[in-house]
Amino acid sequence: MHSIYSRINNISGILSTCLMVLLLGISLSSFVFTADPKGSLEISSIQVSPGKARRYHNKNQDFAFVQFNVSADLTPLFNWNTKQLFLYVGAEYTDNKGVRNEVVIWDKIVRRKEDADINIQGRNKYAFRELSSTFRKAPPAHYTLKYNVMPYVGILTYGEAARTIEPVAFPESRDLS
Amino acid sequence: MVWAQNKQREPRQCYKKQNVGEEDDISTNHNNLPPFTLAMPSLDELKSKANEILEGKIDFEGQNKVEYIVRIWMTAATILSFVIGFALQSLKATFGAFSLSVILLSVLVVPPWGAYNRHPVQWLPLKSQTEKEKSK
Repeated sequence: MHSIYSRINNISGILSTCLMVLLLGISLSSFVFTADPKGSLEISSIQVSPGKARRYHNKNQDFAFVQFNVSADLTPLFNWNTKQLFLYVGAEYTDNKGVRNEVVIWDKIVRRKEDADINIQGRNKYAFRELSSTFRKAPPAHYTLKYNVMPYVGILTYGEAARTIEPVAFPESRDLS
Repeated sequence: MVWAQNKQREPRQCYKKQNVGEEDDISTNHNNLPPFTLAMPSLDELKSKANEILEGKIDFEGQNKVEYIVRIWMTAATILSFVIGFALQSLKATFGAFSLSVILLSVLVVPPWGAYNRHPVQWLPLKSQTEKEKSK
């Protein structure tokens, strides 16, 4: 502490400790906010059509085309430690073999609190295919809107904002073109 | 640094270095140098002056005071900036308040302000040559 350098050293040493404590406090403060907003998700149309994936040219498989309406007010999820929200719509169904499938068909990143009150008519962004190449035997699926809260400091938290009331059955495959 | 935590301190008493007298002898030898070196400070003198300014020495009482101020200030700044940020729901406010307080603290503590040099070390007078001989 006798010279300028040792005083700077002392300050920076305590500074790093205090900064760590501050960051720990901020990350722990996320647990105080327990907002669990709910919205609604409806499937407006669903169609299944045979086609060829770009990757597997010589294989015919079914593609599902899902259109949905999503509305949820997710502003309560934004607090001082929220960086952004990752929203995703997934189809959930358990097939005949008892395997639970969860397929993400759409997603969206919300960066600002002002954009968090969502009201979207959307369709699947990602190709929705079945592993067995056909939806004929697949049971009706539930569709869910889930969110992932990404904080500035701390752990990621997940939640479900909306779910279809009734499972939606896959229609017969027919050529749309 | 153990002595710094000792609250009841007596005025510090130290003996001057023995070789002070010898230094005087050396300085008289400088008379052999050319006259212009006496007119302006030598490079060594400038160097030591610059080192002194850069070092920014403070006394023992000042060091104790600085350590206390830094500890209290930083703890308070951490708590306060958390509270401010939480109240305003903004991390920008938290880190703004925190960094501002760190800058203020550095201004307050890093330069050797006069307040940290109010208790210079009291040197004991030189033992005279005759006393030394007596003790022998």
